[in-house]
Amino acid sequence: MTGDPATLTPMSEVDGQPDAEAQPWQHLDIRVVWVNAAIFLFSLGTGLTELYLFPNGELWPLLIAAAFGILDTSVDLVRWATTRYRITDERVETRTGWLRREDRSVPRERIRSVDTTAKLRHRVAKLRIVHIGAGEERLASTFKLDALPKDRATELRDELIPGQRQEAAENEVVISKVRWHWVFYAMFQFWVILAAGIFLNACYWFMKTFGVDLLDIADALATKAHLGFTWTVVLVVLLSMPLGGAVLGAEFITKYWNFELVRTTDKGGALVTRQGLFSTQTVYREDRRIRGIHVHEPLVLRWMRLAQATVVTTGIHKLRNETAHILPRCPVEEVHQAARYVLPDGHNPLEAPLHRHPMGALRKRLLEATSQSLVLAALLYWLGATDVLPYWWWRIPVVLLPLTWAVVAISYTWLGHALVGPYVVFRTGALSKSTVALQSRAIAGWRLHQTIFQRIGKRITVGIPTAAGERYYHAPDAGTDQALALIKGATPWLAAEFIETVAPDEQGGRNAAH
Amino acid sequence: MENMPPDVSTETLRIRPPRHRLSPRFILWRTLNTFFWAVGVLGTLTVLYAWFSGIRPWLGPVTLFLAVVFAINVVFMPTYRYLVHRWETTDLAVYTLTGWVSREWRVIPISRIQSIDTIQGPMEQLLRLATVKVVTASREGKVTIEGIDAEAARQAVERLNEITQLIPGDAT
Repeated sequence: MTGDPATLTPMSEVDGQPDAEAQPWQHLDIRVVWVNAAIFLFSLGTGLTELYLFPNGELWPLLIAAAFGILDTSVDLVRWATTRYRITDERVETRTGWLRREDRSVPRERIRSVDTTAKLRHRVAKLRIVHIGAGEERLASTFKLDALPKDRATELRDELIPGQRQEAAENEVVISKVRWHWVFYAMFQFWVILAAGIFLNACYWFMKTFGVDLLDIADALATKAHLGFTWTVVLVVLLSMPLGGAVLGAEFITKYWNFELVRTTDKGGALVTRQGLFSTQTVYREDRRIRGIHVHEPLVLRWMRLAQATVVTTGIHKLRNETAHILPRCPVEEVHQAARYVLPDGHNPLEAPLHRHPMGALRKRLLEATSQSLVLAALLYWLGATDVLPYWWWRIPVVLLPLTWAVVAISYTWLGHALVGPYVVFRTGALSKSTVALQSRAIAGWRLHQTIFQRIGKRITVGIPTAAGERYYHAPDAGTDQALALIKGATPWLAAEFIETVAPDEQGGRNAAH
Repeated sequence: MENMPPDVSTETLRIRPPRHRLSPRFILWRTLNTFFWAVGVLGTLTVLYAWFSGIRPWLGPVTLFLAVVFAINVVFMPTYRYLVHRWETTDLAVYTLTGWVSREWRVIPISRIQSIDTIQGPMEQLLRLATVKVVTASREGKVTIEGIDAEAARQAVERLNEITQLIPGDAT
């Protein structure tokens, strides 16, 4: 929808209207330039002091930072000088650009959203970035005004969308607020080591500008303490864990500061999340775009009953930082509680009992896991015999077999599906239990897959392509009868096109699916 | 179980295969296609085998295995697929059945169609065959009908285009 004619109307047409001339063009707030420049001067100042105090330090990181700073500030100044906007009775218009002029005009009745964001620098100067959207499905919002005074931003929003007032608390229901012990949940992650690594890497380069080489110091310490290579690695990993945890914790706090999930009746009903310490972020997820909810529960964290919830919705723009995550990682009870408000029709599909898939699914999974492990072992044995790999590697898959069986058994008990009112519920997963409740209206077709073994065992894999969320959800190894009943129940009109009812006396024989 | 409509659990349901078969020339097309692939892949591997003596211990068995797979694919697969594959377009949906060892049924409601393409490669043009591709907002919701008669494809696409214009899209 990028070539939308309404957004590309040339300015000359508009200028002809008498009413348009009455409205003066307005500028952005000059404070944004001063704040940016001040930040740049401050960082340049510290860099220079640093260089003066430690003349042996590396110079080039500072030079690059300075070059970027100067470029950034001048671009900012040009942007401020060349951007103007106005709101007439009929249109919202902007003129931007210096070498490449860009005029944009959108009819006011097409404006769908006015959102504000703010970085730390904006908050210091009481400024806000205003995003005005015309509801089209594309990455950038139609207008981005960086930045306006806070009051002016609020004024603009009220002017363009009279109904949308953030302080109108009576039409909002708070579904969930962040609890501070959740910060510990954020620390139990596989990424702990990686986070520590990134942090240490940043420290290394930062200290390098002071002429201090942290690697040399660490190396010297390790040699002095007479640690071998293995012990050094073990020690570094052990020390990194709490560090990584702290980094992840700090990240969680900055990201989810004052987090709240709210249901509002504005914009025809929407789910709103507000969060952030240094840069606040408000995301509207309109009800008309929500198609369901998806919950992940990692197996390793089962003992903490942790879950991660996302809404299944169309038109999410990753590049605009709109995520489908409606809650930070938190206890599954909290997720179910929130889900009741997210899908407020009282069906509670996430808590409904599911149909078990046939035992054949478990047998198939066990056989598959065993044969795959054995094939892998045979392959490794062969490679070991031909001296490509160490000879003992073939034992690894064999020793791990019981663990594989356990995971397979767990994944079978998780398998399930159900039709709950207008929702199709699928549950799958091996290392992470994934439960999705999808509205029937989101079903954009069916994809049924049956291997030769599934045909013998009267099982089939049911898949739903959809325009929302992950765009494809499936229930592996459902019983054929279960699957067809599900399809018929969820989309009777579509099922009539390819599923037929058999009279009891002519069953069997020529039936391909049974 | 408890949340099933009662009438569904008592009756037996089954999948009805789509109405139309592919063109019989599909067998020739697919055979030639697979044959050229086999020549390309096995030829490359043979050249590598002749050139580098170091990789022969493992390349030999791999090449042999692939040769057997390709032989089966050239001799049996095209006919088998011809016997299995079916397609159909109605006023409400596009419906296909594909596969040979495994089976796959795909149904797309007309209202979700985003675009309809007709594709004819050089060999397909020679054999008067065509491939029809129906695309939706989901990558998994794509339907490809390979190897139908070019004239039948033209008519089907024309009809689909007519219906899609009549039915307002709800492709959100």
